[in-house]
Amino acid sequence: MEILRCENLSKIYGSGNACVKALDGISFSVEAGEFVSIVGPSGSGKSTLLHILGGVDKPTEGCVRIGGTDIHKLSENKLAIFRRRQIGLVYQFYNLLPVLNVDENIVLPHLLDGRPLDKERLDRIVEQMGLTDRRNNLPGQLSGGQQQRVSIGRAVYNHPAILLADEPTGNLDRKNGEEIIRILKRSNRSQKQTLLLITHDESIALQADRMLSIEDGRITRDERIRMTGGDMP
Amino acid sequence: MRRNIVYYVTRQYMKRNKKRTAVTFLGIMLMVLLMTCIFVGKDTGIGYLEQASSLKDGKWHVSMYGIGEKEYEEVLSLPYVKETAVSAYLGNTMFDQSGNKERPYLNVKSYTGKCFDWMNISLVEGRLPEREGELLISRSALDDGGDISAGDRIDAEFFRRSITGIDEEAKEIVFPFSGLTLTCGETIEVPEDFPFYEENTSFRENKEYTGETERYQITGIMETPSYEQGSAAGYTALTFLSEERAGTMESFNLSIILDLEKLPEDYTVILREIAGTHEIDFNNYLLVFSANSSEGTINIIVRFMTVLFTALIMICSILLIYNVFHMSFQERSRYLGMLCSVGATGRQKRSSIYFEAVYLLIFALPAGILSGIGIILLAMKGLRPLLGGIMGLEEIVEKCPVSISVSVENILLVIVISTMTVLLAAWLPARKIGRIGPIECIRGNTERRKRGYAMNLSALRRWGAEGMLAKNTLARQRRKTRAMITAASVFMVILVVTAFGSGAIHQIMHEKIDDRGMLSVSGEQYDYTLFGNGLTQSYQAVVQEIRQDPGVEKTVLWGDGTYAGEVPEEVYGREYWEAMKDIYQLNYRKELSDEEFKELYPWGTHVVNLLEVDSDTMEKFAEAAGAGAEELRDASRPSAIVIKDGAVSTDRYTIWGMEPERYRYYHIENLTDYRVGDSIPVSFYNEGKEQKIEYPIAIAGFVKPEQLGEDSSFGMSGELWLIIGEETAEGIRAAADSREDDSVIKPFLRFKMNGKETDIIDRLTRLCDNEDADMMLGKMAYIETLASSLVRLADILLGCFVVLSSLICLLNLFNSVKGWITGRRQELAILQSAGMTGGQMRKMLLFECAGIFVKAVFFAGILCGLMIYGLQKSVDMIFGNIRLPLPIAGGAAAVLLSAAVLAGFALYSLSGERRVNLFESIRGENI
Repeated sequence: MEILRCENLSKIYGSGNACVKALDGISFSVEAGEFVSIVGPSGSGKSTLLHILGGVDKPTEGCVRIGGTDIHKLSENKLAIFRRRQIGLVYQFYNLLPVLNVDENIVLPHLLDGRPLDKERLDRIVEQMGLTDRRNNLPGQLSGGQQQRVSIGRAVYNHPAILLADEPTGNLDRKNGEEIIRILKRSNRSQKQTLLLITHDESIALQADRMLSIEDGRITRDERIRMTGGDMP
Repeated sequence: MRRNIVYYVTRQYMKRNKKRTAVTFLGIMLMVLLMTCIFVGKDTGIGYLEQASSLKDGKWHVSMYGIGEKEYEEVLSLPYVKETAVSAYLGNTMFDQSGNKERPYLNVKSYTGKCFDWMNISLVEGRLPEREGELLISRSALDDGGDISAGDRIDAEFFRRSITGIDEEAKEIVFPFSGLTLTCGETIEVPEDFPFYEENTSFRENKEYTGETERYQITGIMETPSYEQGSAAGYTALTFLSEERAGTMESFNLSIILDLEKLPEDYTVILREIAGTHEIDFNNYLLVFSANSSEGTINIIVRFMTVLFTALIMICSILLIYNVFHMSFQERSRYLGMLCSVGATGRQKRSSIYFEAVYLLIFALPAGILSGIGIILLAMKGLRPLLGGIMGLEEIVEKCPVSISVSVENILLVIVISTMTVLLAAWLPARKIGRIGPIECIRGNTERRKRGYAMNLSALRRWGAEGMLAKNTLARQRRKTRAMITAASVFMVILVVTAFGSGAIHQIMHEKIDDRGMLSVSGEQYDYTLFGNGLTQSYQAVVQEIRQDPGVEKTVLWGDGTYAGEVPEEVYGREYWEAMKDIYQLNYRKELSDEEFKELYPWGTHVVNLLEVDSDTMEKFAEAAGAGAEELRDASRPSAIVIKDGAVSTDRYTIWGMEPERYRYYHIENLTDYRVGDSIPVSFYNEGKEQKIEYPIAIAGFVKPEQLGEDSSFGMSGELWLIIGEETAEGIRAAADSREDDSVIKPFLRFKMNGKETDIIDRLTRLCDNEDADMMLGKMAYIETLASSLVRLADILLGCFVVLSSLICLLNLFNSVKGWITGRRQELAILQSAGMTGGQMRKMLLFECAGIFVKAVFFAGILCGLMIYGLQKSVDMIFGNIRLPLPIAGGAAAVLLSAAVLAGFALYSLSGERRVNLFESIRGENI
């Protein structure tokens, strides 16, 4: 089942001589439960694509449908609500709220939705993320790996339709990076969580079901590595 | 290559943060502007008033009348006497050409050339006398229909006037306006402004010819001199006095210009001593506005205002500048950290802050000084009519151009104080940034935490996610919200303290300058007052007519019994006598024992005043006093409501012309120690029996003056006031055996017009103009006195100050809020990306504002309390226990305003942030 479809996505920054085309007519779709890695050199437009897919940036042209909803046609408020319910975002620099502890950061989108706290789920996620003994700590008191795990916990807590990770291991050492990928993969496999991941690391990219290569704002290669949720073909 | 890389980088960051730099610049400029307004404005205002007042009464400071060579020599020996000019009073001469039978004489004076200049003699026509035998006549003579013009000749035969008492039945005849008392058979000389009385049975006027005669030619007509009294029997005429003639005179008048820089504190005492029994006059307006008032009142108030306002401006500015540097700490620490990691020293880091402060100050100084001067010019032009009103100088003020008094000292003072303020504000952040190391600088995480925080479920349940987020922000980022709390607190404190300070200055000026010592009843709700000498038939008939007139909306008939009765000393309470003793000590400049005080204060009785009010008013007053209205109507047991509070001061009691050591005001909470139900042994003078009769009045209740104000306002009095009803008043009139047309309690009817056309006022005016009328009509228009004008002037200046200083605080608050929101750009973007809607964000922000506001109110409350206490103590120390009104309304307004401003600024800043690209915001801080 198709969960994400983007058609003819373009993004232009600036105007006149300073005009930069970050995305140039990108179209592709993603099946539910698929793990897609996006690779490409710096400045190729990977992050821009991910942020447009996540609804935090707007395309100059084209549309993004998630579960059939053209997200950029939604009003600002509806888009915010859509984001907290359907999209999980993981950033390279974690982007946690410094004033919230681990638990609070994880349940943030859920709380923003005005729903009662699901304590069992929170406990489960905290445990899965290996943060049980750090739940009362503020982000400033955590290591980079721990912060990224909180960020993943926040992204998956609401069972989003799609999880978008922008170089989640880019700021971590190898061991922590591997741990993060393991968590993301587990979420993808066990929860059938659709996952789009940007990385520079080829070994990580190759762990995905499918790999998209981007250069100069265009998809240069769309390669299936293995069957969704399966082993390498 | 850049000479100083730290300065260059700082300048680049200043350019990058244009808004913040602009706000800081504006704050510094406003500070300089306010300082300029205080120092230059003070000099300009006082200089202008000095100039205008010299146009009114002349340029002289002191005049002595009828002194001789001995006194003259003594005056000349004083080191602070700058110039002197001699004039002489030649006496009266008949003025046959007079058109006013009540002004049949000329009062002839001779002036030296200097005197004509000093006395502001201005010509209407002709020229000034240039030699003896020439005469200048007052225009009032012509205005009264005098048959005279330039070129005419007058033969003068001088005489001195005196009066002799001839009424054998009269105990004594009192001339209150001339300060004379005459007994039968006694002859006394009268002053030159003594009116002309036709032949009467009480006294006789004598003319004692001096033997001097002179033939004068009129050379011109002058504007009526300010010292000429309209009621005087003679018109002023001036002739020329040559220096040679002046040198031979035995008795003359001396006008003195003092060197104000060298004046000792007791110069008035010294000059009075030299004058001895001779009359001496101080040009008080001029001395007051030369900031050398004989009593130093204006001096003290001006100094008090200057110090208070300078301190407040400095505090506001320091906080504004400090806050800006504090807020930019994070950003600055990053680039300074980078510089530090490549070898920048602590001193170089500190210099970044000082550089920014001084850089802005260099531009703010000329801008602030120039705009301050511009504002002073505008204000002076706007305030000119009011300044004119101060001394009845409307016409003079028109002629007196506004000039700014800019002295090098004042500009230097502004520069020094502003520089000190800016450096002081920059010192703490500079010190702090100079101390932190490169790693801390680059990381920017100088705030280290060790403890953990449990999930805030209670806040979540109570206020939802937004409330929880807000509470966490406030509780877990204290340092970041501190600037906001400080800014909001300071905003409130400055508003409240300036409101209190302004109220204090208003009250001080009101009590100190407008210190009449009488219970002043004013009723702005009424248009006219008809005063009568007693409840005569004619007065009652007129009252009836006024009440029935269709043009009259409402009336109220009260009675005034000022100084009507006497009471034994002990009726006045301990507090009163302690204050009086203090006043005596200040006058005698020594500690007095109780016995010494009693000896010096020999009167056995003390006055008591009565105020008769109508039944309706009495009911209201009785309610305020908690007394029974019925009891107050019972004529068989006369009772009264007593005004509990009073006030005395060194100004109200002048003892034998002595100068008190300093000014002191005493607010008296209890004028009497008597209690409700006690009987006050009041006595009245019975005219029929020619003796005092006892008429005890019971105390039905006590009130404070402010409790009585509804359609009348009551000022503080130095004497006991008894408010009595019509029945008690009737009893007193009977007991005092008052004549119907000269009652011990004189009626006054106040009435308000309703706008309908009627001729009642014309008829009343005609009636009162009649010579036989026993009543007087007064318009209750606002009478501009020196005191009330000064108070109004100060109120306007204080208002301007409150507005301008609030503006600095407002900028500070805006800057803090803006900085706070901008500093959270990434945080807000994360929240947005996590799905927070605009409404939720606003709600969260308002929760945060509420938390900040509560903390700010708490700190502001403590600070305000301390500052108000300090100010009250200072006022107590300098002026006396003047009861200063607590700025409750001002405080409430400040609290509400800060809440609105805080929320408004936060929402405004948020809307600006939300326009910034979310993606960029998330990435921005990480790049």
